[in-house]
Amino acid sequence: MDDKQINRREFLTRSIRTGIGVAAAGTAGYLFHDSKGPDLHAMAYESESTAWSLPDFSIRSASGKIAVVHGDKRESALNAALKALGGIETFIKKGDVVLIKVNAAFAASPLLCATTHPDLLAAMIKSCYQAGAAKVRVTDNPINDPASCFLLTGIEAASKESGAELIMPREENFAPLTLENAKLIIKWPVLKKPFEKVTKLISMAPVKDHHRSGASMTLKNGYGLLGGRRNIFHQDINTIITELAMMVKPTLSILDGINTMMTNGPTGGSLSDLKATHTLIAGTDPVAVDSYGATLLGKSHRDLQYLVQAAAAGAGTFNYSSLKPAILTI
Amino acid sequence: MSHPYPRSSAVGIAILGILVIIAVTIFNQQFKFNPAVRVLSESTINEGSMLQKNSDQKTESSSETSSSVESKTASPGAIVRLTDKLAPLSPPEHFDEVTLSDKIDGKAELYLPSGFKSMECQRFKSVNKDIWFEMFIYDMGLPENAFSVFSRQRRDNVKSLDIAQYAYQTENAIFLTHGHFYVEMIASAPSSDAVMWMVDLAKAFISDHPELSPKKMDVPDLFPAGNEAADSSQGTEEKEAGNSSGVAETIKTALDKESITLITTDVFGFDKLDQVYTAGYKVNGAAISAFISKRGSHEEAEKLASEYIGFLKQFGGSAIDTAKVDKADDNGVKIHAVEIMDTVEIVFSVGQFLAGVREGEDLRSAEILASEVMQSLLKESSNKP
Repeated sequence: MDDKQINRREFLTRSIRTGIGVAAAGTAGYLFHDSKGPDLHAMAYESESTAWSLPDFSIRSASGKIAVVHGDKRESALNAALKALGGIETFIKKGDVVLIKVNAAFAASPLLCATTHPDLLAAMIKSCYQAGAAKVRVTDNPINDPASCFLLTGIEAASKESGAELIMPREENFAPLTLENAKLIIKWPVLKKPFEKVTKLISMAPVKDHHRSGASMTLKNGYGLLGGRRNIFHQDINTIITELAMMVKPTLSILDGINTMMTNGPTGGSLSDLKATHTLIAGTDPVAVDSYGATLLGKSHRDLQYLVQAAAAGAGTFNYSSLKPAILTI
Repeated sequence: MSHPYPRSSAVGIAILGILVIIAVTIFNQQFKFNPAVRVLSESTINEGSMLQKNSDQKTESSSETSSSVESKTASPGAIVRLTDKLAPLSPPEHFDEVTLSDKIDGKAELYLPSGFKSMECQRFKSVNKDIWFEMFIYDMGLPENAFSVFSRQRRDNVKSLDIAQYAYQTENAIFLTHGHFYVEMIASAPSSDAVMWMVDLAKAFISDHPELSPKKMDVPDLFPAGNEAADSSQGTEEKEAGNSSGVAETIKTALDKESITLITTDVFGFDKLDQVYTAGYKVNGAAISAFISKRGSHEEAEKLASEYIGFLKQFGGSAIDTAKVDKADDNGVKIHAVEIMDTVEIVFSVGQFLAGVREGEDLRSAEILASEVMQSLLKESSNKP
């Protein structure tokens, strides 16, 4: 038989063998194919379960309290607000370990009011220690690089000078968390380590315009507990803020409207973006606190969908008037 | 007995060998996924997240400076040429459309749909004063896009700077465009020295990019200045002669030139409307705005005018059949008018321009301003060959 010619039998034999080979390769490929992709969260945290949740730090006996102070000095306004709420001792007891969740999102000067003001933070830390707190911690997972953010915002200095421990958002400080009935916070890395042995949580944020959500205040402050590529949640910003409202139940929410960022938020940049609204709001209902804060931006809860959603989800009430806020001017 | 086809068998075995190597490599690599990389969960992928097609990327590296800002004269380790009064406070950072929100969070939504390409930023400090500032250089791809993000963030009551086609300063910051770049410089405190340094850096940046000359944007010049501006240069007889109705018109219109803005996409909430310039006016002291958009053809402009009106009606707008825009009929301009959310909108097309007025408190004010805009566009259309 000529090398260049094969008979029919040989052809069929070879074809069948080739076909079997192709089918075997295809079958192997199909069996190995994973259309869903790897479960990265399970892989990343193989040894950790997601069966943890943030404790509810709210104090039942202090629920529904809100104070609004008009004044231009942050420390004085804070002290007046705490007094109107029954005194810091209502919230902080001897031996408490307090975590203050600040907004240190951007590496910006405190003058730009894009982050928690260091003077306000220092005053809050001082109050906590005066009430007998055993330890005060400060934390956030900023948008920009943490070291620059904590340094340039003055938060690092305020923390250290006031005797608080600043906890950086290192990767090992996160753990995956699944919020019950959530659509977005599912096996998502959330800051966990700063909460170890914490008995009280204080949320402190400035009042700011926000290009996506309409406003950034204490409810949105919870964003700084999330790790990972959390910017994907911008696609559904109102839902994520609502879920954060369900996830984070602080003891006290402090909303700084001494100077409000009226436009070009959340970064701002120009001092002309600010308006001297000279108002500080403190309360135990973060939805109510934010609803009052919205008025400083010339808005109501109706303009901020996440407030309506958070209230509907049971995180609080946007009808701050119903809580009979204590309103003072200093 | 020797194999009848040694050559083809050898080739076949070689191919199979390569395939086996590939398969083993893939099998090996898929178990080595980096757990530090976080990606979308399945539910968010299915919802069509914009990050679906992008992988996790690093956000900053001094070695990843974008070529879009490349300048041979930039100081070493800096994104711009520095003076001897300034030094870098941080390394250069580079952000693209995937990572921009890592720097500016939700504000990225302003830039991304407006043609954003990349952003470089860096902090600088004074060598002998305790003040620092951050410079942001946004590559927006086109001068019109740079103008768009510049105009949409323009602050009120600012001081114009003559260093660039569009530039202004505030107490602690300067903002400008240069070609397709939008530049911001923000100081840590209000300081005339800081503003001076920032202006110097801006000038250095501009002179290092001489290939980018100011681009004349035609449409902003088409917004009429308003009859208040005309009145100030006219005598009484001319004013009365110019009044077509023969009755002294007491309605004054005035353009706020600093308010001219370019919105590139989803204009007024309508996804078919893009590349629209808007301008703020005062009509007898009440605020109202006008808009102009240059389309590809008269047919396109006319069609879009109808579609936009249809969109407004869909959201509760009711047609105003009694709207009368001066000289519209004489020039064959079809006027659409609706009342929506207690304001009046008038929409029309002249030549290849779609135009109109919005947020009019009353019909007469809207008609007067619409007439002025229409006259300007008619003049422009008649000047074109």
